[in-house]
Amino acid sequence: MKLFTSIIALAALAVTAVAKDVELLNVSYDPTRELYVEYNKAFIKHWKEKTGQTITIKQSHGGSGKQARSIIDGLQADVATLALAGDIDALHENAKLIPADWSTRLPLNSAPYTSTIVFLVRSGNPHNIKDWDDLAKPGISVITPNPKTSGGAQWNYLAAWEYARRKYGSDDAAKEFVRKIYKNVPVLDSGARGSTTTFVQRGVGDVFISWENEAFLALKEFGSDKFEIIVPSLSILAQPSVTVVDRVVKKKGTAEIAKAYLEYLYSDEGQEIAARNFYRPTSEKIAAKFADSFPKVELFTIDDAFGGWTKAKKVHFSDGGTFDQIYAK
Amino acid sequence: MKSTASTFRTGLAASVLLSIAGAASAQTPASDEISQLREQIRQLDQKLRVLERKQELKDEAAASAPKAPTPVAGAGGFGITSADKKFDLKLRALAQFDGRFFLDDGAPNRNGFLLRRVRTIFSGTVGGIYDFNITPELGGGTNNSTSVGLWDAFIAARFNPSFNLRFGKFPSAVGLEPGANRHFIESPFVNTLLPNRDLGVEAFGKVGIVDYRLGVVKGTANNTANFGGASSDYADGDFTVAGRLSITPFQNLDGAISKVSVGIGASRGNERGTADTADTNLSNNGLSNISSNSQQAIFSYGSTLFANGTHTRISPSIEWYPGTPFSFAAEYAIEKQDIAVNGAGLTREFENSAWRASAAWVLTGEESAKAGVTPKNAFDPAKGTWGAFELVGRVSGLDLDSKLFRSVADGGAGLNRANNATGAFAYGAGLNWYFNRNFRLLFNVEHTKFDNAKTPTAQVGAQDDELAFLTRAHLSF
Repeated sequence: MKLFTSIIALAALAVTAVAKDVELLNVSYDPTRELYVEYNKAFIKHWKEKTGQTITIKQSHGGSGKQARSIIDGLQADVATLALAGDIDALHENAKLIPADWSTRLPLNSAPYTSTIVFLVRSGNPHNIKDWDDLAKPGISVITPNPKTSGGAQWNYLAAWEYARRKYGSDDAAKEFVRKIYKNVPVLDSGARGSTTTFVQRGVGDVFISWENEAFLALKEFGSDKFEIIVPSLSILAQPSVTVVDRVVKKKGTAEIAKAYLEYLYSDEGQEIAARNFYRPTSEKIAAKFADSFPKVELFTIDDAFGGWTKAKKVHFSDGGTFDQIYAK
Repeated sequence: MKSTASTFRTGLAASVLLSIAGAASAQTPASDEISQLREQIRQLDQKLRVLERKQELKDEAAASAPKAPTPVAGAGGFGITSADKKFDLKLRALAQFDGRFFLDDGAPNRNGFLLRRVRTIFSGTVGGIYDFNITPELGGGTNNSTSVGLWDAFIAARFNPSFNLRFGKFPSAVGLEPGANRHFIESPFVNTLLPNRDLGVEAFGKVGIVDYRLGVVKGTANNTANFGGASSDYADGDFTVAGRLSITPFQNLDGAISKVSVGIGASRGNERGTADTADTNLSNNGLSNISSNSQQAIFSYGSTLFANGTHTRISPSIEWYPGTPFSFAAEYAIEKQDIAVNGAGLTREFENSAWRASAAWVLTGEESAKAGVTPKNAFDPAKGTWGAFELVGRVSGLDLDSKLFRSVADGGAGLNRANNATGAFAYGAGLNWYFNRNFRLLFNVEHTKFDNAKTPTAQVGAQDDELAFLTRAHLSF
């Protein structure tokens, strides 16, 4: 029996030997790559100083809706930092990976930073793009991702819709207006980063409906002499949201670290990192410090204009919704 | 695609610009005409860029799309493998149809045909490192009869090359070729003193020049398939420790010598049975009777003896498959077993031994590999190709403890040497004809000289020296 016990012990040792250090997986949306590269470094250092524990953090990026589906399908995300609360809701609605009240677990409805939607045009603004109406004109080539897979694209879509509804007075008029814009879209990428590549690197299109942070990043990386940011008269307050994926962290034993990881986004350091990466900080203190970095624009919220994400998704982005109606191939 | 389109786009722009230049030199164009041409260039350029980008996205989508599992059908069997190779299922089979012809020996009416082995082998991998093997035996013929059961059924967890675990029923580690002989149709005497399949858990792996297997098994009588049932092949009082070390001492050298492998297998454990009510092999006594190389009974422990204590086996071996037309293997086995000779009150240790050496030479020049021979040219008379031919030879011997044949009062087991072979020596040769990697015909002739017995009342195979002609049609994939 001694030998038998020894073999079992050896097996246990072997299993232990292949076990890895603590590792978090942050499944996020397309344009947050640079933000979380910087933030992860800061949090790893912070966690090491606080607890002495060494951790590694992996990132996964893609269209927000696509990333949510990956988590539902089994991607072992400790935390989800997606483009919109509606995609995080799907984690509860489709797989019960998180509780229904997930957004109440962190301040500000679990939206530690915000952004908005602006236009990126080529240097000199050759087509004289000033506001949403210009995007619906014939002959203007508009770049925006696919709202079926991209959270950013849904913000774009709803911002255009609300602009038209206010200006032209009805949902029908708004639908026709958005139809005209999408008629001008030659390529539908699956995510915002793909659309950035299409517009900035491949030279396709006259105007790119973009996350504000993505537009600033394009200026920073490719030069302000090549592109210009146009701020429309009305835009949407985009509130990317974050959550711990309860079922995963429970299984992996990473609940404490995952929670701390998201909470640290609200710290001064986390907020500064967000601002440096062109996300609007929610901390008043840090927002004041970076006030000159972000243009003033009239913003509306998804709750005010569309009654929240659940309703907006059902009306506009579900199968047979308004997007399917206007974007028939 | 991208570079071609880019080149095309550049060419197109150059062509249109040349047109403009030509127009400008021929006549003074209106400024709006130039503007129109510029706009046309811009629009064409955009259209090409859009086409390029769409193709790029299509390529990206194709690259990131989940890959479909790959079905496989070939000489190695049929199967399907997931795109990431972590999940794999294989269906293989083994079928052996034998003909046995006994020439010039004492017991008549033993010629015949039999389905020696009919196995469907389900094997594969789950989760990248967990292998499985399920092998039902549907033939299992010995003497014109069949024995159906589960031949192998095990899980192997491959943690790393030096440490892996196997659970279930699997080939015993003690012998070199459990239940088989690569060169000949039937196993030699050595296998009659060693376990064939056993149930348990085993660690295995390779560390440098050493391959090891070490496990704790339930313990089994010699050379049985352990198909279970009311009778017990596992007449054990405890677990048995079994293992094998194989060393390739010259593996770092160049040439054929690098393939020399020497090994030693061993097992030790308690085995306890009860007296049989009849003289049948492997009912309850925990003792396997012994057969000749042509599978004829030559020795029986009878109805009163039974396993009753420690059973130790040791089996050193050497094999050489140098990657040439020649191959060679030899092994020796010695077993010591406590046997109750007069009820449970009187137990004595008996020692038996056996050996064999076998070799092969492929006449057609192919490699005589451990798995067999793959013909350079498969059998196809229309093309004038006949497959591969391999000559084989084997010598083997058996030496049973002389104490078995002494009276109990004289310190023995009381078996009758007139009814049992007390030893044997066999030599034989054969021709293996490989039609292709999957099908072969085998022909063996083997002569066996028995010690003692050779009487009309002896075990059927030992009534006279034996000259047997064995044939086999073998299909495997």
